[in-house]
Amino acid sequence: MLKPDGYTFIFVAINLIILFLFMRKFLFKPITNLMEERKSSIEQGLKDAENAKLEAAEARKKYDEQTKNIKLDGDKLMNEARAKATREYDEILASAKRDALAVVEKGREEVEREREEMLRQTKQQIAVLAIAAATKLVQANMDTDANKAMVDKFIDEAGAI
Amino acid sequence: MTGTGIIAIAAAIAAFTGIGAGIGIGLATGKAVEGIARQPEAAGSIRTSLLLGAALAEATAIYGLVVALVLVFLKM
Amino acid sequence: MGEKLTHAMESHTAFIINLFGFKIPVSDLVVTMWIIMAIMIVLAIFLTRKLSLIPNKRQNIAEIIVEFINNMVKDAIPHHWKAFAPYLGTVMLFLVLANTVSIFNIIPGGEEGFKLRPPTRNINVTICLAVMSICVVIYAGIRYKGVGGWIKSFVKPTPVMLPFNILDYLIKPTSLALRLFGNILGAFIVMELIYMALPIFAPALLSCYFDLFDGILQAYVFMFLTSIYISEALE
Repeated sequence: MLKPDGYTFIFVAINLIILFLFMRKFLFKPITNLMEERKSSIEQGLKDAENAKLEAAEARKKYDEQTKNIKLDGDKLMNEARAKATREYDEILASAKRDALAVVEKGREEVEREREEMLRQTKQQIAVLAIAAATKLVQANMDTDANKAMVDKFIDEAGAI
Repeated sequence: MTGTGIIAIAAAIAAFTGIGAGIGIGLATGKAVEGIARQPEAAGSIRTSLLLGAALAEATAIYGLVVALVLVFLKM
Repeated sequence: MGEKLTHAMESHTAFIINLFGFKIPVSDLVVTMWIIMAIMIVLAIFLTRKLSLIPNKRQNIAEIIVEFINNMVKDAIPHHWKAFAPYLGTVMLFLVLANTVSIFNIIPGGEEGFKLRPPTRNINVTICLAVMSICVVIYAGIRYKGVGGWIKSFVKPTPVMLPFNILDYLIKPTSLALRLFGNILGAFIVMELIYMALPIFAPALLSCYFDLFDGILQAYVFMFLTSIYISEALE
């Protein structure tokens, strides 16, 4: 058992090399690769889940912003509509007032015109009456110009009242 | 002193190397037990280290055994 | 009794191969080693039949073994463990089986029949294993540091250390071989004596320590020391 025996040495070396090659090909390489693949697939799955969570959070944030914007827009629109309504109301009111004033003005003008018309007619009739009265009173002196001028002046003074 | 007599005495003297291994491993085991008593949570790793150290320290005792075997069986 | 013991310890020629006119004697150590190789290869092929990401029972066993070996190698060699785990795993599995075969002696044949004895009880086998391990260490040093780097590592701390570093490379395989050989041979002799003295009950109990525990421990120590040497050569 202690004698060096060359043949056994060579045989054992060859056997060990063959055994090592077989073991590496059948046992160690496939299973080590499988364990690495499993670890990487688990890591990949975890990373994917993490990414999906981040994306979901972002989408949620965007959705929140959008709803906020929509609400702001709605508020703005409503404010604008309300302002426009008030403005139109004011305008309508103003125009109505203006129309009313115009009508009143027209009425006053007409009244004024009628008064003048009536005044003119009254002035004519007063002139006729005055001439008639003066003619009756002064039946003889009606032809002179001075009397006529006096009668005209009297009529003008009467008309200016 | 015949040949076999000398060989037998030489082999017996060569087997004395076991003393060193026995003392060394005994001391190491004592320290290991003390370590376990101080911190029982590390018992597993202390046990592994103790076995490893014992196997390595035993090697010198085995060298003595091998010398004794060479003497007895190869009759040198 | 001495003759029976000597007969059991010696290695005998099992058969002779006639090859190209040379008579190559094949000792029973090599036959035992072939039997162990056959068992290991059949187990390896059988356990990795259908690989899938979710393991079934057979694949579980294979994964436990491979993961155990990978973790031990990863502890010792942090960086390039993937390249050395197959060799160290092969050596460990072979030694675990080789040191404990003598409990599988089921063929009753007396002393002249073929009995399963641990092949590592012969010094040639252990020297061969140790030399191959040192070859792997040298290969690791040359491949990962270049030939120049490996030679420069001989004078690493100071040039005075040159003879000690060279001696280191001779002492390491010797100590590995002798440790394994001495332990297994000693256990084997004690078991043979017990078999001869108390053949009924005592062998079963005592072979638990001598055969199994000692064999597995020595296999683990061999692999662990080789991985330490490889990591020393790589740093």
